[in-house]
Amino acid sequence: MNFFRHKWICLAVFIAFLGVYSVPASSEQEVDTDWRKQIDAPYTKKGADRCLKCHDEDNEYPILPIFQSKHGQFSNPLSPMSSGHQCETCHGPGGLHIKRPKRGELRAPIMNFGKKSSAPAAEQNKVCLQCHRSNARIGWHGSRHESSGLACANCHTIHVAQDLVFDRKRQADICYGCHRKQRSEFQKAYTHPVRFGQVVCTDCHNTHDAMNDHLLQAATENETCFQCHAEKRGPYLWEHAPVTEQCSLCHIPHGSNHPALLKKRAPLLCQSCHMQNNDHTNQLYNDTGKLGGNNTDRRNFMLGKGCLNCHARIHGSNHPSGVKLLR
Amino acid sequence: MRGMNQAKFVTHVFFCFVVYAGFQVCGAADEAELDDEPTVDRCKFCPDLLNPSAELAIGTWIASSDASKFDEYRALQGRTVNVDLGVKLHYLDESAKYLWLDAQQLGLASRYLSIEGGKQGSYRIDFDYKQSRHWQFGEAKTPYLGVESDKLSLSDSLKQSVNDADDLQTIKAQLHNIDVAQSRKQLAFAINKTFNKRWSSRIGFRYEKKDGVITSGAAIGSAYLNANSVILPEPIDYQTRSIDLSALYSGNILQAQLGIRSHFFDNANEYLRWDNLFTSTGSEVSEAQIALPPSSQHHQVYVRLGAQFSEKTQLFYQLNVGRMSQDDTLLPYTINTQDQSFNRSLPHVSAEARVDHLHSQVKLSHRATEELKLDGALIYHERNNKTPVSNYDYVILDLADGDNRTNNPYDFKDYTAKLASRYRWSEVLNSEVLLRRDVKKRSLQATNKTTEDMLGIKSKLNAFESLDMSFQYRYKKRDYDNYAVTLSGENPLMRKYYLAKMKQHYLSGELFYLLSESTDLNLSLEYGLTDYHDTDIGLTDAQNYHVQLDINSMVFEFFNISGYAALEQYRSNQQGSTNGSTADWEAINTDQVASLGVGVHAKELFERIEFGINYTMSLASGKTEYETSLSGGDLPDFESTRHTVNLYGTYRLKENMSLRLSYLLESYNEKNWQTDELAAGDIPRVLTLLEENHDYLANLVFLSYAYQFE
Repeated sequence: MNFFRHKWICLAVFIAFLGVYSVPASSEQEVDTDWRKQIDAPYTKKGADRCLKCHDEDNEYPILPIFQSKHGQFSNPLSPMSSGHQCETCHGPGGLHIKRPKRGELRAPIMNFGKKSSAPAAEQNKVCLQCHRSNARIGWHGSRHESSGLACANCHTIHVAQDLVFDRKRQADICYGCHRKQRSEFQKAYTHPVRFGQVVCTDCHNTHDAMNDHLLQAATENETCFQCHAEKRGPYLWEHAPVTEQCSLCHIPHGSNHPALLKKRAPLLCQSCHMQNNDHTNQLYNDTGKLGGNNTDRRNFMLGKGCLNCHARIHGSNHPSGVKLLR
Repeated sequence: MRGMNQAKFVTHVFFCFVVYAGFQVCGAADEAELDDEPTVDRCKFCPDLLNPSAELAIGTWIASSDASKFDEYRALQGRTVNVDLGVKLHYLDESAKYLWLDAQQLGLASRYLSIEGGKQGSYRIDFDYKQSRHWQFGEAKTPYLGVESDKLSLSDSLKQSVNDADDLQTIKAQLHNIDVAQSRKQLAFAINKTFNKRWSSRIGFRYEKKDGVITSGAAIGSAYLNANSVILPEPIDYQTRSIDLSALYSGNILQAQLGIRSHFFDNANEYLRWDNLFTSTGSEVSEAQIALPPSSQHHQVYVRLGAQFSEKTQLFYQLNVGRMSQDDTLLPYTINTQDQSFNRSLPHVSAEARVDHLHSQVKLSHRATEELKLDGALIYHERNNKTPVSNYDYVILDLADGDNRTNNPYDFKDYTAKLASRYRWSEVLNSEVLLRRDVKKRSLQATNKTTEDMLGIKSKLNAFESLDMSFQYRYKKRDYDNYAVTLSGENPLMRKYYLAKMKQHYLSGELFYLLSESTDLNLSLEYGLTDYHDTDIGLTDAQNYHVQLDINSMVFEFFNISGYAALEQYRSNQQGSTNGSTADWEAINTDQVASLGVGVHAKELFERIEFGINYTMSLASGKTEYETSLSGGDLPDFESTRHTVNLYGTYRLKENMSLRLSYLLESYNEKNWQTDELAAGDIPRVLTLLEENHDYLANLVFLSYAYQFE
């Protein structure tokens, strides 16, 4: 038998089948992005063991740090790892994804998350909401973020030991990814100390909620402010009406050119509402009252703290003689 | 021969068939890895990363400036050198118990400690400690002694010694420096218990101590226009305690949270007393007293419900019912004992102030079709002020009789209805229409009912793969039935802007363009116009715009450049009248801020180095111009400019050791004509704290060494 005479035939057959069943070199092979093809796929038998054959420490996107987080714990009965499907609990059935694709074909899709995912945000979020439904997420559906097509993974990072969103020094940068205007607002002269990491966005805002205007933590704006500024709550014997309604009638919470984050300074701010015919409320406080101006008496109402030189209890007074917030 | 060839052929075909079958077996092996039933409980290849790890970082801050504005929130406390310490601990074990600890800036007055631990799926304990310091200004000057107490006293030579501005100038030598700063210390503790997949509970407790000094005006006088004032350092000695208990249910269809929250605010000082510096107001008053914020409580019960009837329909309900109250003992009308007629009885011994509030909201979200989603909400918010209404025979600034006044406990009822519909025209285009109506009924205010209507439209288009555009327009209108000024002597044409009739337009657009795979550009524009069309006196109109350009480029995998430039302007017009009727002056207030930021960041250079450079700039100005036939001109501008350059880098000495170095150069300049270069006597009847100008040029170096234990 002359094996070598027919070797070329066998070699040709071998190469032909090799071409048909392309051996995948690694997980970096191009993957189909049509997430719908995953819907009817079966699950793998070996779970994470199968996934980690390709998605190992050399993976382009770091996978393994998840095993230092809560999501990666087998002994946590609420963790995806303990549910039986492991990685596929979140990423969906990978039965088609693990199959070697034919030559010229893309590898079958598997759900991925974040801005680069082809799956719509609602589909991605269904996965997270399987477990994270309660507490702050009760009002998620219909919330501003949900209706803007924001996926959980746009802000949250799962395959890390600690999600960056919980790092007080880095949280604002994540929010600035979409809320760009606020990045410049917190550069103003008078702001809440967000750029120093002492106040973070979630101190005032509940990013998951549908219920409250501006996604505030509390039901009303004032209640949100009183969490840290309880001394303004009162209730006072003599109230200042706009204070009882909304702090933002006079203040800009993200930042202002003016001290105390005011929209304007006294006396002009106060004259937006007060113009009594009593000699000082309705006066024209122009440059005659500044240092060097010819009306030294006007300085009493303009320099220093302006109207608050006397009307100190601007948020309300508990003094029986505090009628005009002077006491 | 022919038979032999055939045999060979068959052999080789068989050989090829074996190869072919081999591939089939491999393919079948793929199939054999599939299963619908969960059978996996462990993972051979999952890395064991449960080894506890810790990181200790020790460093030092070196600052070249002790300016208060530079150190406003940095908490270096004006010291040139601060040693710093940071600790991180990460522990997880096989029984799902864990402990995470993160403590940073332990050497500074802005330190924090965060501990989270427990057993996953069973319980979780959170402990947080946070400290912060707000340094408003240093080297403020005051003649008063006893700062941070509730009694500010003067030396005998200063008591009732100042008669006019000239006298104020002479006391300069008797002023001493104080800091105006506040510090907060917050402690929070919470226990979350998970009973099973459905039920859990949470107990949270928070304590905050705030102390320091803020500024407060304090006047004494026989009439409002014959008063003298000092800006005093008001003591802050607050404690706030809050407790939050809640039970949570999380089912497939229903999620619920029921809780009680209580908040106690205590002010150790009920009043601030000060010696009278001035004599021109009358020698009868040697000291005066101002009330400080009262201790108060707030209790509320809350319920939050979410029900997913189906994938298409969700219902939400939220209810908050609570009571705010304070019952501090009322201070006397005055402590001026010279005039016995001021010694009057009060209508109450204590404030008995109480506000009940209710906030109720129901929201329905329904996906009518694949393309159409509807959201509707009804909100009711009530503030019911039960503070007793009484007459107060008050004293003006401790020296003169006031007219008898009745207190005004404000309350309101707010009804809101919202409707939003979102329609997805195609994969690339979706739109939204928003409708909102607010009806607010108020008591004791100039108008008893305002109605606000809002119509908004939004649209988002993913025109091409690399281009996203969005557009938004909102129109809001406010009306009232009648308006009648409530304050005695108020100009009848005054319209308070939060009550006044108005029409508001808001327009915004955003463009996101992917220049390449690694570079994106975002341009956003906003414009708002508010017209208080029925207002003659007060705010008449306001305009604002904001333009911002953001660029982000991942030049190489490890090298990123980003930048932004923004310009914002807010302009408002308001009119006033010196004659009690029609307007005779108009003020145009224009605030403008331009800011710029550029940053470069590189990581994993030579597998060891990470570094970055950031530059930010903020230029702000505030103009006030007047249009009037009355004498005088425009006010000087307020200005502030800040430039910051920050260089930082980390060098990994070994896998578990790294050095970090950062350098910050910052300059800040401010022009504030209200406070700049004020000397005692510049304001004839007011002694301010004569705060220094806030300008600074500062360098800040931070060097630290971090070691990881595993």
